[in-house]
Amino acid sequence: MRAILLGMVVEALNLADPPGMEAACLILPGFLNPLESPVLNHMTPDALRDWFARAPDGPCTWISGEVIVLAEHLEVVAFQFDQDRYLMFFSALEATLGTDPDLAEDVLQNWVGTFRPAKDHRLIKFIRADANDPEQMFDYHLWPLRNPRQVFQFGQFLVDVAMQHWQTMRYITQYLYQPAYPALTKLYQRTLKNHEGCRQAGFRPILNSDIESGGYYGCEKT
Amino acid sequence: MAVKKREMDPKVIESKRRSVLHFMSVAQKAQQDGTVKRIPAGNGKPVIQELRIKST
Repeated sequence: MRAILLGMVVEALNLADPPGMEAACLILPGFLNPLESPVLNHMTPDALRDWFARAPDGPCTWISGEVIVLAEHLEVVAFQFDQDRYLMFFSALEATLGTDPDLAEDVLQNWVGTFRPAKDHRLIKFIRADANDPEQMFDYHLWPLRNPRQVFQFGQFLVDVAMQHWQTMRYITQYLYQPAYPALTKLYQRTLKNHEGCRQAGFRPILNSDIESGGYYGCEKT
Repeated sequence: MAVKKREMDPKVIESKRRSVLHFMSVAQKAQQDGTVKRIPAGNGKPVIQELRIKST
């Protein structure tokens, strides 16, 4: 649990270099340093077999009928698009900082300018389930869709997966994501704007969030 | 939505990489310890749809 919290703080601080990691450890004494804890580069075949046990063999879209809770405020949903399998992680930030308002203020200021996440929120990240090289797992050139013409369906489908999570945890009022590439930003913007299920569930894209650092976007319950 | 970041950001990639690797470790440990909880979503059945050749 403590390692999760530190991981979220490091992410929130957007600290990629070792001095940043040291700083995160300094401001949170006693937290585990993920650099010193065993870090796996991929999910084991056993776990994937378990989570994708009911996934179809043929090409289609498939969302597991369950949310897998890995730890407090950390969940994953397994899904498949065409014949490729993915994992979408949902994690909260607020538990990390809840006991120290001053630290929370500092982190959030660094994270997204003056924007403040809602109390019940989730950060979203997804990867290909078969990604096993940390250097390549977010290089979109290496993980193309089998049919590029399905990119808009894929975008819609990603929101479907998030909505599946929300069906299980309806107290969540805000989902945030951080596109790393301009093309993804445009795709997500278009998708969120036009996603019927998202609208029907009462979510709308976050506007005027004054995002200056970190580049987070999202949608929230109105 | 506000759009501020237009180029690929290596720090964002690194941040994502760190957190996902960490999530994987947590997942692995939870699997080993048998502490993973599975909550049915919706009616508990998988959602399956056909692929569309061209999206709207």
